Amino acid sequence: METISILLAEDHVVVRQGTRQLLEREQDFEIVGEAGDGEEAVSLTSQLKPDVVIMDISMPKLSGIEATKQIKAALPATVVLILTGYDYDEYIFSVLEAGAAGYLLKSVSGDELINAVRAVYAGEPMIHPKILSKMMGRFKTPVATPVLTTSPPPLSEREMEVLKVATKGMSNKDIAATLFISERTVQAHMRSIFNKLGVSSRSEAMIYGLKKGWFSIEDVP
Amino acid sequence: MRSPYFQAVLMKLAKNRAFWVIVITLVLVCLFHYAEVLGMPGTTYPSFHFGLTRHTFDRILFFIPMIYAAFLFGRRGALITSFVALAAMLPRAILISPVAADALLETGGVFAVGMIASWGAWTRVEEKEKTRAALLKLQSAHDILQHYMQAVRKSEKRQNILNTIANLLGESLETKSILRKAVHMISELMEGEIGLIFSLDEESQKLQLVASEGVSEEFIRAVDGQRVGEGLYGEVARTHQPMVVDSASGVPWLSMPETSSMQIEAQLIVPMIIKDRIRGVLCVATRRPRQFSLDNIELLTAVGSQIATTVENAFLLEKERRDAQQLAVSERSCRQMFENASDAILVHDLEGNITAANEAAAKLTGYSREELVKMNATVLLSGETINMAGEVRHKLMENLPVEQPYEQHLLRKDGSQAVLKLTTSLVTENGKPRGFQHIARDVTKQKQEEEMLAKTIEGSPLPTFAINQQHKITHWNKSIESLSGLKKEEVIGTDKQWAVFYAEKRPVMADLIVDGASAGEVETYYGDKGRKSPLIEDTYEAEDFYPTLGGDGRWLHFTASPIKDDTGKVVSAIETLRDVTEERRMQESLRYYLSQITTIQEEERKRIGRELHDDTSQVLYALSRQVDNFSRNNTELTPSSSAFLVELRQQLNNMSDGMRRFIHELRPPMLDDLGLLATLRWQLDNFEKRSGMESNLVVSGVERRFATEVELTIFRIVQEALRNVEKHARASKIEIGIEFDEGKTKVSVYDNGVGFDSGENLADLPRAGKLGLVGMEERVHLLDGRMEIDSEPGKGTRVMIEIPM
Repeated sequence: METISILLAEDHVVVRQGTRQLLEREQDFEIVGEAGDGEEAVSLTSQLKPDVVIMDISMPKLSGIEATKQIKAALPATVVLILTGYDYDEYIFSVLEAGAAGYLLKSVSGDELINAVRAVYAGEPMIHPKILSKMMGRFKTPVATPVLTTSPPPLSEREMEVLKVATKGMSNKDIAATLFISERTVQAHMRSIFNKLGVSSRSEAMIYGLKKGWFSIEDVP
Repeated sequence: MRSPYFQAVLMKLAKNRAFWVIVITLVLVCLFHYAEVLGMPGTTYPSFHFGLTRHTFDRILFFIPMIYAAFLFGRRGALITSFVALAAMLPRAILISPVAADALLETGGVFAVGMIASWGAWTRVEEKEKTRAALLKLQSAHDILQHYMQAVRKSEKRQNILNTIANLLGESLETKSILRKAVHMISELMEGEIGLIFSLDEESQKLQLVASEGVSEEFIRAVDGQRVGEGLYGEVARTHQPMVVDSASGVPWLSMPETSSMQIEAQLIVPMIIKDRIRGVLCVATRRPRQFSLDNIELLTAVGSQIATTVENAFLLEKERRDAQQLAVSERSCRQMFENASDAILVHDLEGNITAANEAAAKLTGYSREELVKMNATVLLSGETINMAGEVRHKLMENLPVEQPYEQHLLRKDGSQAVLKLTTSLVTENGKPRGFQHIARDVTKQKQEEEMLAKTIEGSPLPTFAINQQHKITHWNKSIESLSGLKKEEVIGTDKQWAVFYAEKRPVMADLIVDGASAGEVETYYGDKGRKSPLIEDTYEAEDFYPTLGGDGRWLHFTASPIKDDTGKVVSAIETLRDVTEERRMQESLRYYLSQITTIQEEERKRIGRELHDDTSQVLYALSRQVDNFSRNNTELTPSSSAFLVELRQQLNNMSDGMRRFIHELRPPMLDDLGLLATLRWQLDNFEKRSGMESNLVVSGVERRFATEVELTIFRIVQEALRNVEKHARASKIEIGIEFDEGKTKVSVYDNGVGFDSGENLADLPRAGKLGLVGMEERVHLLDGRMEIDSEPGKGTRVMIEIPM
């Protein structure tokens, strides 16, 4: 079993400690570092290069969103999971735009959190499709990019297929079933997609596709 | 005796036939006398010839040559011939004749008689000669006389002509008809078919054709307007000498189409000269060849002068007549003016007796016109006024300057006083003063008004001053004295009104008003510190800070309005000031307090929010997590314990949710985290859910993030606006617009609710109970922005704020 290295970024000590206690119990999780503010989060990430960064939005010095942007810019392979108190859509949009792979409320149960970490690391979907469609609306107006770009998409046809199906919010298993390929193949495609697009999570890939206009509103349920 | 003269005479004699006749006769008679001696045949004829002896007869025959010579050669001839005859007779008488004494006697007798006879003959001849000479003389005298007679007759004739002309001309006084007649006359007189009269315009030195006969229009046009020195007529005008022109002289001008069409063969052109000045040019022309004589020239010249004189006289007469007419007209209009003038006009002589008065004067004084012209002007004056009147009269007489118009008081018939504005002038006749003329305007009412104004201004507790059209101060009350520190005596009559406000001379509002400035001009001068008064017409007000006044400056609110006369003309401007420094200070203090309160409020909220967020809610989360952890770690828990823990956790979550919401309401962290736009979206979304109203967010421009205070202020304002809409508007739709511009941002909240009367002034709002809006305005003001509220009952509300970046 692969060990997932995790960095916790949270300014409230008690909360951070609680989260730590929860995650430490998992065998495949390794807490490699703790940051108390945005700046520390960015610097520690570049130092320790964790697989997953669990980050709060409201942090002093640098907000979680900003920190996410910076981390993704420096180490695009890092998966960032936002853990926050607010479930307002605006937050979700901003967070996903910044490059986070997923978004969780602080009030989630321990199990949910653990599963989320595992899923997001594996490239499984994390965003509710409804949120995605809401985001579509957002992207349509300000970013008026042509639906089909003149340059050929960097993904292969098959990969595009996989991604399009993935936007429907299915798990890897379901995607495999839909396309009549094995789950392992799906995972491989996903990894390839992530690599090509320079992202590390499904959400990012989907957002990328949305921005590029690869999917239209009909594709999304 | 062989002088050349003698020789010449001899030569002459020799040429004369008569001389030879005498000589021959003499010789013959001699021969006859001495015939027998000479032996000539036929000599012996009877001795009696007519009772005379032959030789006596012979002797008598000697008479013939003697007398003839006398006739021919005068005295000298007679003498010589006589002596020659004597010499011829003597020899016979002495030598031959028997009776010598008788013969001698006869000879002597013949000689003597012959002498006498020839003498007589000669005398007769002489006389005849004389007569003839006399006759000749007479003849020549007669000729001369004749000549003179002719001349006289000629000049008489000319004079007659001229007189006729003069008479004919004198019949009418109109210049044009004179000229027409004249040109007709000269052409008749000179027997020419064509006559032209030119008048010389001295200024332009051009000849104008004023009358013509026998020529075509073309000709007239071609010939009119010649300059002195140009062409034939111009030449005459220049030289002042007459000119005769005939086609034979080959003048190129004559070959001009216009003139040759007239077939002019000969012309006589003379200058018209009066008193040595040339007035014009006359011309007579014929179609047949003609020689103009000197007489013609002289005559035409004379006629020309006559015409010119007549024309000049006529012109002068016409001018006189016109002048007289004009005089009559102006006299009439003068009289009319006098009668109808609205100002009173009074004329009196040097003693003061009124000689003329118009209707207005009667009205003014209360006396009738008949009464006035019987009165002395002093009746209308009293006391002081008499002195003043005397002074004015004295000055005018001495030709000293008098300031006019001046004020004077008049005593009416009913005893009341009238205040007049008087203009007096000296009336002269032939340079001598005869009396005075007064033109008076009743300014009693005006005076009263002025007094009222002065009293009002003086009595006003507000600092007030007034200036006249010349920008000079006419009124300055006590209040403004104390405000400005300038005493009335110092400033009255000066244009020091600026000294109240400024350190150096500048127009004040009253100056603008008195110059009739428009609203636009006042606004330009005062910027948005000045505006038209909403209450009074033509009045403007402004408020500004004047650092040079009272210590460290004062805020003054001033109002200026014009004072107009009956015709609507602005005659002066009055300005009232109010020291509003205290008010302003208070206002500023209020503002300051408000802003302080606002800031403190915010700080409080921030603090609470942070504390709640930092401490309370986080702790709640932590607790929740801990409970969760406990649940997970302790797998041997009883179901009821598990359930309890789950519930506990739920409650904790609820609490933290509630807390979260509360904090967000209080001071949304989203604002710091995500920015204004995201927060506005969330706000509106929330609002929609809460109120059920349709809401819309319209964004234009590129999103920018601003300083926290700004974003927070905007957020709060929108919060307040939404609150108001929820509470009062009863609207169904709400729209928030945000405009990101270069250098400024505009946010507007519009609802389609019932609206309210937004009124003119935001200052009215607290009274109306809309404190929330005042708070908003304060916040905007703190950011140097401005807020506008547009609302009308039934037409919804729009709140707009604009904040510079």
